Amino acid sequence: MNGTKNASWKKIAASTMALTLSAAALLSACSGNNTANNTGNNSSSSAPASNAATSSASSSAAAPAREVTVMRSDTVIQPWLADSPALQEIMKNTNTKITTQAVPESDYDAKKNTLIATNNLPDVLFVKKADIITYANTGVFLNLTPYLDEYAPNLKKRMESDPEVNKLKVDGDLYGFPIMANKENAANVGNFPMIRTDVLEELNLAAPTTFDELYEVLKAFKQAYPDSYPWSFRNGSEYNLKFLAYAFGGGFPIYYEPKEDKFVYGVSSDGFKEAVTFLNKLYKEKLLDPNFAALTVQQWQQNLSSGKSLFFYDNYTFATNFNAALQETDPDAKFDMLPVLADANGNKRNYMDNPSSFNSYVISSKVQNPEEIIKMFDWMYSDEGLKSTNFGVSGEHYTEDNGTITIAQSLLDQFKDKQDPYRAMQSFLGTGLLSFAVMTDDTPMFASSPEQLKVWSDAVKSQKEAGIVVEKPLDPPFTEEERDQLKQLNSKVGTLVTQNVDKFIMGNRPLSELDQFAQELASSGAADIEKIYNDAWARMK
Amino acid sequence: MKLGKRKYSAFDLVNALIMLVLIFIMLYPIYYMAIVSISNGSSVARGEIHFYPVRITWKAYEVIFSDAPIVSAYRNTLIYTSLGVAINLFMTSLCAYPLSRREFYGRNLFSLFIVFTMFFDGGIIPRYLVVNGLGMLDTIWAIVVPTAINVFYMVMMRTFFQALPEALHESAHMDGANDLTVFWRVVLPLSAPVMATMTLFYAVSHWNSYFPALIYLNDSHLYPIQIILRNIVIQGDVASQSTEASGVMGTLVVDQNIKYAVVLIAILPILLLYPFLQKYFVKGSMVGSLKG
Repeated sequence: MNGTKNASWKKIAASTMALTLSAAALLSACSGNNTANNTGNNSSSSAPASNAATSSASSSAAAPAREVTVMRSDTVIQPWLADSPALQEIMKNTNTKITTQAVPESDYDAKKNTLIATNNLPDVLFVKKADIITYANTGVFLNLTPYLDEYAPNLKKRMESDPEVNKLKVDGDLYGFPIMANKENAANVGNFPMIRTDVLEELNLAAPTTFDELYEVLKAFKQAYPDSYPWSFRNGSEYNLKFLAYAFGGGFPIYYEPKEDKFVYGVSSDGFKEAVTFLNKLYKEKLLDPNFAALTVQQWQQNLSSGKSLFFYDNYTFATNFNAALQETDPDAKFDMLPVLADANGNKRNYMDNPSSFNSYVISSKVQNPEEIIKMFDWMYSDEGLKSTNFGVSGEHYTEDNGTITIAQSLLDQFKDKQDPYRAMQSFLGTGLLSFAVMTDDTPMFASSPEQLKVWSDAVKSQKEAGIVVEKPLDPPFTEEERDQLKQLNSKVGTLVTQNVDKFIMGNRPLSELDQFAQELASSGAADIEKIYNDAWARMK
Repeated sequence: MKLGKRKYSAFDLVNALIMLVLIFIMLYPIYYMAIVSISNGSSVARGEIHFYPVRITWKAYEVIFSDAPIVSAYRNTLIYTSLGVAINLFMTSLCAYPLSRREFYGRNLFSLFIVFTMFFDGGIIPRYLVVNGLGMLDTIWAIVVPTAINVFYMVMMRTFFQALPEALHESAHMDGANDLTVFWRVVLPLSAPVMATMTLFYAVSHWNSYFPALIYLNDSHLYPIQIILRNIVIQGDVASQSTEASGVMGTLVVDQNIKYAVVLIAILPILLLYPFLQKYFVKGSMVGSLKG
């Protein structure tokens, strides 16, 4: 390391030894008072919840702040910082001091699983939907149900407004504080048809309103630009069929069919067959990127940013990146959203993501006086808490006039030169979904993002109000046994699906065998999957 | 062999060509990262970068070096690597030397116990409990102490020590030196090659390690660069997989050129270490293994 050439090895060795010896001395000093050192994880575990008498102290004004350690996954784009304005607001309003433990998102699961397995949970832990079901029965998470009536009136109110939350319950009990969206001001995201409107105009074409018209338009694109592959995919055909089959009036793979009020394994549906037939037609005429099965996200982005592809049916927020890249060389180039396309019967429907993430914060079952933490979370569900955890400090970071929130211009200016102004601002404030909020509101995003996003989000919203766009429903809660069965069945059926779907699209297997394919799947487990879903769904209803 | 007058056969030509292709395959990814990291972001997005940078900009590096977590993580990695290697060399040689002495009582039994750990490992959870029990969680010691001795490297070092002539020990003892003095004044000075090799091996493993830091550290100020790097590189992939995974408006994509700039910065120091230690590395590891 310290590679001065003329120093003899002896010297280096000697200094190394000296360094190490002093290090060893330090080490022993450290392990000597390890109890003092060991603050974060063990403070709560050492003492049982017996001395609940002290909890009454929280009512007096001079009570010392309750310290709560919160661990959550941390993104590069919006780092979760300690002592942010939002956390100070929580301190001010609930007398709770949050200690942040931000664990990189890339490896969050590894850390979370280790902590759960060794029973070394922090006081509060961020978990995904599936984690609650997996671990609820082990007793590491606190069951919140007994506390809800007394300590969480705001949460109860919010839950009533979004019944999907009930699917997070395990055997009727709630184990985590679900992260929900304030849907009046939520960004409405989903996979929608996006087309290069400048090319439409250039070729004097009307915007397509049905999938058949889309086919004609793509064909015209190909004629005008023979080198292009008008439609580009990412993540392979199975990912795309999940929403395309639904838009064609069917679904894929297992999905909730609102017309029949039950779950259906969609491969037998007409919509799925039409979607595959449609893609097969595009593939044959080279309207779909022939490499569609293997395109990486990066290649897909390159295709769309370079004009090699002119249409995509995916998360529309990508389009702002594509437009920015395209407009550097061609100022008129622009992707814009098409209204949802009609299937062969003239029906329109499309999924959107539920703005509520439904991930949760759980409390460790070893925590003392959990009602203090529950009260803090409940405050975060209140209107006041929502504002503090999404907008920052009133008067300083935002103003409110007749219910309309305005983000302070000075705040927006402070971050406008950043690479991602919105997330830089949120990181500074400690607000929003990627920081610490259980009730999210996307007002700040619209204030600091390209205006186009708001336009598209509103377009989705109005189609949602018209009943065309629906929020993708969550799976019903399964029992442990059902989950094990599903895992096996899904891998068995999934393998068959993966082996065959691309064959159909590429024409290696004749489309006339689609019905036979559906039968194959049903007999190899798709029918069982359907049954498990519907049984679980029936229990919920 | 007559230098300079050699005739080149067809085999040489083909050989050289194949080697050139191989060299290209090895070097191009690194070169590609370098040119992408200094190219304009939109050009990267359009996939215009192939053999030379387009519209050169240092913005990616500006972003990185103005990012406080990255700078502090870089410093942490330097500390962990240097302190870790010092502890590694000290502990490994202290373990290897007695085991290399024939007169050491119970040598085979001790060797057996130590080598046993090479093949059987308790796994993460017991290790976490031990580190927790020792009160090392959330301190630098959790990073440098549990990995103090790598058994395989220790065996290499032992083999090297064994190869030193026995007469050296005898004459030193005759001059009145005790075991420690022999180790310190005779053995270590003769062990430069193996020490250099070990330095390189251990330094690389410390530099590249992220998992202990992830599991044992809670305070993000203590994170090494690899954790940040992993997060940056993996982030874009995970978050853009599907919209429902993030449930977030706006795409959480880190620009390609920033990703590559961070990768380059993270591999550069350890890359530079190789040329300086390489001559010892080749000699040392050969000496150790051939005579083992």
